[in-house]
Amino acid sequence: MAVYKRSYKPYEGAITSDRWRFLVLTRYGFSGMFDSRLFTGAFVLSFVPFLLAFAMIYFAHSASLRALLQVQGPGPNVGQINNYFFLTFLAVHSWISFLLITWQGPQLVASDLANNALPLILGRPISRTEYVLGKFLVIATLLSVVTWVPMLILFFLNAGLEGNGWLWSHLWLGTAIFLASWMWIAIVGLVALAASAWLKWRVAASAVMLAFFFVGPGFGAAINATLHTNWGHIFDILYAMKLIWVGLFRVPLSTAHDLDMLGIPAWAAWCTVAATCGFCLLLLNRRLKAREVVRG
Amino acid sequence: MTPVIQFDGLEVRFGARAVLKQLRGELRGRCIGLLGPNGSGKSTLLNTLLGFYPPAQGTARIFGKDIGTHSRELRGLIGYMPESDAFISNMTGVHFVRYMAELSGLPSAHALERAHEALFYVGLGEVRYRKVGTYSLGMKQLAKLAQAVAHGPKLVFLDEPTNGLDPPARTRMIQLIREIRDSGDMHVVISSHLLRDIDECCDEVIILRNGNIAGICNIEEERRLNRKFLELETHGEDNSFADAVQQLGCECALFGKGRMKVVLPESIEIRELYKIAAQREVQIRRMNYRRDSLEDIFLKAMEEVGARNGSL
Repeated sequence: MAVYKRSYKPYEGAITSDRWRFLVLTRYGFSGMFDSRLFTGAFVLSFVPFLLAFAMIYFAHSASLRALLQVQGPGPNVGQINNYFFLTFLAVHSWISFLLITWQGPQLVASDLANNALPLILGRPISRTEYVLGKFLVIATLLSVVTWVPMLILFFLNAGLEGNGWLWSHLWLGTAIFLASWMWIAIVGLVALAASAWLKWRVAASAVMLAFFFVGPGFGAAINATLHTNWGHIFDILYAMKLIWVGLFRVPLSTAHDLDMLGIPAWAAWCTVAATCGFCLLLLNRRLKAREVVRG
Repeated sequence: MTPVIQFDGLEVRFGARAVLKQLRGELRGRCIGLLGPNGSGKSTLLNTLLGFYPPAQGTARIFGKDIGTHSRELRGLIGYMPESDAFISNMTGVHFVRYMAELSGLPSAHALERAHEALFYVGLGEVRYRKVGTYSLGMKQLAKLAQAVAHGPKLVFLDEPTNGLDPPARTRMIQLIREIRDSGDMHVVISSHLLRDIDECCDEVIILRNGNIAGICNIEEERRLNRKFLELETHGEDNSFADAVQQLGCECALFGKGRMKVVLPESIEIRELYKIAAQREVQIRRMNYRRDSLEDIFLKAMEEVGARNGSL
C-alpha cells in the first residue's frame, strides 16, 4: 500500500520465526549503542592493545625482523609469550570492556524503562527471559569482540608461529582465555543490566556500576584492616575474579603470593561471583515487569 | 461465531485483594467498550488479557484461545495502546513503530513499510523522522496508536485513548478508531471512563464496578429496540388522538398538556401518526426520537450492582 492511501489495511505478509525473535532486541540494542560516534571511536581504539600484542608476538618470533630493525638489547623473546602474557592482556582488555559497558551498557534497559516502553515490548510475543537474553546478548557480543575473540586470535597466532605441538600442549590456556572472558562478560553484563533496571536512569546506572566495582574493594579492605582478616575480599568482586583467573591461567603459587592473590580460598571467590550473578538476576526479575503490582 | 472475549470465572488477586471477581460473560462486538469508574478494574482486565497478571482462578478466552495456555500466540494477535506514556524517547517515530512491528513478528523491510503507513494513517507522516521524545502529548498518543496497529493485529486494546487530548485531537482519535472498526479487519476494545468516547465508537459495552461485571450491553441492539420511542407534544384533542394511535397498534402513554410517549412497532411508519393527527385536527408541535442513552444504561447498571451489594 502506498503511503498516500491513508486507510487502514491488514497485514497479510510473512511472519518471522518466533524462536529467534528476541534477536530483534539485540539488533536494535546494537544500533542504539553505535549511534554515538564517540562510542564508535572508543570501540575502535579498544583494539590498540590487541594490535600491540599482535606485533609483540610476531616480533618475538621473527629473528629476521629484529635483525632488520637492529633492535638493541634482548627485546621480547619467545619464552615471554606465556600464560602470564595472556593474563596481563586479558586484564587490560577487561578494563577496556568495562569502561565501554559502563558508558553505553545501562542505556539498553534504562531507555525502555524511562518512558514506560516495557509494557509495549512485553505485550508482544516476547517473554521477560527473552528480553533479558536479547539485551544481554548485546553486551556479550560487544565484550566478546573486545576480550576472548582477539585473545584467541593471538593464541592461535602464537600457536602457528611456535609450531611443534604448542597448540595441543597449551590447549588449557585457550580454555582458560575463553572461560575467564565469559566469566567477566557475565558479571559485567548482569551488573550493567541490573543497575539500569533498578535506576531507570543511564547516568545513575553508570555511576552505580563504577561504585559496585570500586566501593567493594574499599569495603573489603576496611573489613580486613578492622578485623585483621582476609575475608573482607569476598566483598571485592575484582579480587574474586582475579583469584579465579590466576587459577585458570595456572599462575605459579609464588607469583600469586607476590600478587597478594591468596587471601581467600578459590571456592570463596567462586561463591562471590555466583552470589553477584544471582543478586543481579534477582533484581532483574523484580524490576523487569510489564506492570507493577500493588498488593493490598 | 466464536466470541471475541469470553470470561469463565476469571478472578485476579493482588495479594489478598481480589481486583477482578469471578467474571463471566461473552463479548462479540466489533468495537467493545470497557466502562467503569476509576479503580473498577478496567486496566487490570486488559493487562490480564495480555498475560501481564496471572488469573488466580478461572480463565478467559480470546477468539476461543485460553489466555493462560496460548498467551504468547494471543499477544501476536493483539495490539496494545497503554494509558500512560509509553515510548522510547531517543528513537524517531518511524524507528520506534518499526521496532515494535518487528517485535510482533514482521520482517524488517515489511515492518519499515508498515511503520511509514501507520504513521501516515494516524496523521504523523510529516513528523515521522522526529524523535518521539519531542512529540506533543497528542502526537505521543497517536504514535502509541500507530505502534498498536502497525503489525495488523486482529484485536487492539486501547486504554483511555483520548486521555489528555484537546477537542480537535480527541475528534481525530475517535474518527481513527471508528475507521479501524469499520475496516472490518480488527476488533477494538476501548477502556475509558468517558461515556461519550464509548458511545461514539462502540457497539457493545461491558461495565465494571468493584471488579464485578455490572452489565454487558449491546448498544446497537439497545438502539434498535428503542428507536421507535417517540416523545410527542400535541395541541388539540389528544385523548381521541391517543385512542386512534392505540387502535393503530402502538403503545401510548399520556402525560397531560398534550404530551405523550408512543412506541411504534416495526411495521408502522411515522407518517401514519401525521395522517391520524390530520383526521382528528390535532397539531403535532414537537416529535423527538428518544432512546436510553449510554449514560442511562451505565447509571442503571451502577444502581443495580449498588443495590445488590447494598452500597447505594
